[in-house]
Parts: sequence; structure tokens; C-alpha cells
Amino acid sequence: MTLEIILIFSSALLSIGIFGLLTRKNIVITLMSLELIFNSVVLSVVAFNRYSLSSSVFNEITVDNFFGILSGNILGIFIICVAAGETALALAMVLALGKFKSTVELSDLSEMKN
Amino acid sequence: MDNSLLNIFIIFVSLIGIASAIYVVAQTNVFRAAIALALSFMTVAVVFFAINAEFLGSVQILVYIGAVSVLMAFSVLLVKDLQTASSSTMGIKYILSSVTSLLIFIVLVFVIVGTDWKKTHEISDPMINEILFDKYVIDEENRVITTVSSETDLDEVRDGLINDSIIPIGSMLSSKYFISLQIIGLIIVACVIGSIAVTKNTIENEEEGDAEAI
Repeated sequence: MTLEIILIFSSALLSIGIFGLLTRKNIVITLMSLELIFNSVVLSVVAFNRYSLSSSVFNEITVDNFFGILSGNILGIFIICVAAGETALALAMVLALGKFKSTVELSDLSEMKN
Repeated sequence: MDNSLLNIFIIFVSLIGIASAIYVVAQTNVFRAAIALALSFMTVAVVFFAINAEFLGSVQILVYIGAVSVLMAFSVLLVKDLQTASSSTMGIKYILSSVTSLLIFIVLVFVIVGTDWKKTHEISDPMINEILFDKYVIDEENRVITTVSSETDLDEVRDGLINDSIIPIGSMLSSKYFISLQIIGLIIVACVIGSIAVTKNTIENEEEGDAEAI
């Protein structure tokens, strides 16, 4: 039951993030929606790692499957690291855009069209 | 493993998280949206703590709330005209986007509720039980499949590993996933150098522009 509740929370965050990505035009709010999506993915990965079957099909705790038991947490850490680096880069680009073009709307950035 | 108090707590926290996430995507003031985003991250961290993933909860608080949200708030303060965002226009695009995201949510909920999430101790099919849990392993030396006569309860061992997750995660990161950890570090260094390069050009150009103006 706990797994279902967490997965529903995660899918709610995912759909809210997709809604924000599709409707908003402000760059920073688009980035925030992207962060919500990343967060929902990490949440579901960790919940699956905690409550699912796969990591306990081994009948022995050996060196190999010892590392399989918490591999979802490791994946979550890696997702968080990549998302943080991507956010830092994107915010630097937001600063540059604000200086050069004085705009923060995605619809104004259309130089590469046509 | 399943207790109703934990479920009620997680439902309560999830409602707060969903409300603040909706506030983020509906808000025209970007600074307030950043603060609400921090609240939403915090609820996810609380859920992490509730399901025995303490290390990830700490990482979530340190990285997301401490770095990402604060970085977004600072970028709002640093860029002119970023404080108030344009609100989303009510049009055919808005309706289509809401229908799309709502449909995604409904489909996911149906799949989640409809799927029979089995846990180790809930599998009733004797054949699967025999295959999965009847303790057959391959003996590495003799290359034969043998039965393990294990006296310890392996579920207990596994739950203990999950409950004390920090030391296993540390040993995994420093042994099996060591290369991955180094590659992640490389990616973060590349991101930091890239963002420094982008903002440095901005500052230099601004100084040149000032000099020309003078």
C-alpha cells in the first residue's frame, strides 16, 4: 500500500511538471517544472528499490547481490547529481540571456528559426 | 512493513507536496515559485526519510533545497524583469496541455492501482516460490546447483541492510560504482566550468560596454 501511495505522489508530480513545461514560457519556471519531473523519477526509483521484489530473490547475501540491494539509491544519487549540474548550467545561460537579450521568455528566443 | 500510520503520514505529506507543486506552475511571481519549489522538495525528502532512505533524504535537502532552490532564487534577484513572469494564456494550447497532463496522471494511476505489486513474503504461487526462494544457488567451485541450508532469515538481513543504508551505500560508491562516481564528478566539473565560462563572458562584455559608454 505504501508503494502505491508513493507512486501516485510521484506520478502527480510528473504530470504537474509536464503541465508546467507545456504551458509556461518563463525560462526559470520551465526549469522548475523540469526539476519536479526529475524529483518524481528519483522518488519512484527509491520507492521501487525499497518495496519491490527484485533485490531479494537471492537466497544468499554474497558480495555480488549485496551490491544489488541498494542499487536504486545509487541511481537516485546519480540522477540528483546530473540534475544539479544541469540546473547550474541552465541558470548561467539564464543570466547571460538576461544580460544580452533582456528577455526571459522562451518565445522570444527564435533566432535559429528558419 | 505496511503500517497504516506511515501511510497516513505519507498521504498527508504528499498532499502538501502536490499543492506546492501546483503553486509553482501556477504562480506569476518567480521568487514565490522558487520558495514553493523548496517546500515541494522538502516533502519529497520527508518521504525519503519515511521509507528508510536517509542518505538520499539528506542529499535531497543539501542539493535540491540548499543549492538548486537558492540558486533559482538568486538568479531571480540577479536578472532584471525576471521577478514577474507572464501568466500562461488561456487558449487552445492551455486546454490541450491540461488535458494531456491529466490524461498522463489518470493512466499512471490506473496502472499503479491495477498492478499487483508483489512483495517477497506475499507470493502465493508455490512454483514461483520454489524457483525464487527455495534456496538454490550455483556452487562456484563445483559448478553444481546446491541447496543452501541457511539458518538466518534472509528477509531480516535484507531489511537490516535497508534500514542501515548509509554504510552499504558508502561501500558501494567506493567499490563497485567507483567509475560511475568519477564520471559523475567529471560531469559536474564540466557543468561548473561551462557555467563559469558563460557568465564570465557576460561580465566581460558588460565591462567593455561600460568602457565604450564612457
